Amino acid sequence: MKLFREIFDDWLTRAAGIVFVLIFALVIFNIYSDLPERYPFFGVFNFGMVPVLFIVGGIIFFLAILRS
Amino acid sequence: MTEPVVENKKHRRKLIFLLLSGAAGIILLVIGGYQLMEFTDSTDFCGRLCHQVMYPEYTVYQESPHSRVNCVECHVGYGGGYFVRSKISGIPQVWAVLTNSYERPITTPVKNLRPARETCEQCHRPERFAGDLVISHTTYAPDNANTERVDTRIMRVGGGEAEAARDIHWHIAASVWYLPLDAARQDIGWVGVEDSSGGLAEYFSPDKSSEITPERIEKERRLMDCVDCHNRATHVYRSPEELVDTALAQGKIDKTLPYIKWQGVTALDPVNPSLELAISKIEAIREFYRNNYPDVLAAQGASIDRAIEELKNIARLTTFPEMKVTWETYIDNIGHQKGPGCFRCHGKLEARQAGAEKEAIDADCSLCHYLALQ
Repeated sequence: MKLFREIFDDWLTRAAGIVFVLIFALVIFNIYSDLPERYPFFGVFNFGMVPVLFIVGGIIFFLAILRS
Repeated sequence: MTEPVVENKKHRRKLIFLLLSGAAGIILLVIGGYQLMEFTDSTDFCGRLCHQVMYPEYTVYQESPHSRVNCVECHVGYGGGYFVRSKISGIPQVWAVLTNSYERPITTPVKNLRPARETCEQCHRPERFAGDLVISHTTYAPDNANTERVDTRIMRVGGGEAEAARDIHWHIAASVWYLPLDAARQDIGWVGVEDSSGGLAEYFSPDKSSEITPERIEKERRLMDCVDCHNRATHVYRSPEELVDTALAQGKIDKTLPYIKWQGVTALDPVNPSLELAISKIEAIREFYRNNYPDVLAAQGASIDRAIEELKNIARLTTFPEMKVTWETYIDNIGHQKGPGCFRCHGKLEARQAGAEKEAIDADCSLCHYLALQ
């Protein structure tokens, strides 16, 4: 816990962590769920969110590297 | 001294976390990107996302012989180049849907469709076709007995390797070039047939000679392929009459029901302004039997119910008022019953040889088919 507290002690690293968890959850959800195929609008949102989150994560990553 | 060391350690841990999550993020992006690509290539995406635009195409596709072939296998094909091109050409289409500015009905032929040699011929091989094909066409008269008529013809499908190819599929084995003078490719002005030595036998439309120049031929000519005849191989809009005939022949509609062909076709042709109206007309068929044939209704009530259900299905395949599509919207080039088809060239274009008698491309019926009794 102490280790986690140390790593996530600023908002940028916390944001990077949240983005990573979201991408991971989305990819796993898309592998196992058939909801995106059954509801194409939901599918567009779901599948499209992965690259969007990656770009957001990339920006946060560089800001966090620069700050640390 | 100890504080900077602790700080450095903390920064190192942060950096390791960021680098590891960044690397894992790239792997997830690759997986997610592949999923996105697969999804945008799916039939659900093409057919259901742009629901109103694609509704007629998607509906008849599901009933077609190619319903197990994904849209992208014909509309995009294999390889990265066409994949990227299709995604780029899709952007204006998305814009047209978002701004409600798309054409109703969608115009054909699709301009940037990949050559059939790279799509159709991934499964079909015209060089392996051979011989004739017996086609039996069953129709029913709109009378009390739904009188059956079977028309059997033998089609000279032919095929074969380039040099030995014959009959209808010779057109694909040989190098046949043509010049369409209109966007729908119904008005053909010139045809050139290449022989194995590189020579070109040319045929011209006699009444369009002023429009045909060597420059135009060079610039606009197309190599004939499968879709020049099989242009509605998948998005097949059949008329209510054809669909009722098929349902009667398949036993989905009981042909012993008096006047069922006439009742079914009358409810759906001419096209109804809405699907609801078409369905209410079909429901009224029950009243027709109640008023005119109460004994038939009593004895064959279940058959009438089945016929009504099947006719509702036919209504869904023929009623597309939102996109202004009917069975007459798109010309089917196969044969010559729904459009000029073969006669776009046969019997119309003539060889142009100096001093020689002009000879038209043969239009004899027996070139393509003959009756079974012959």
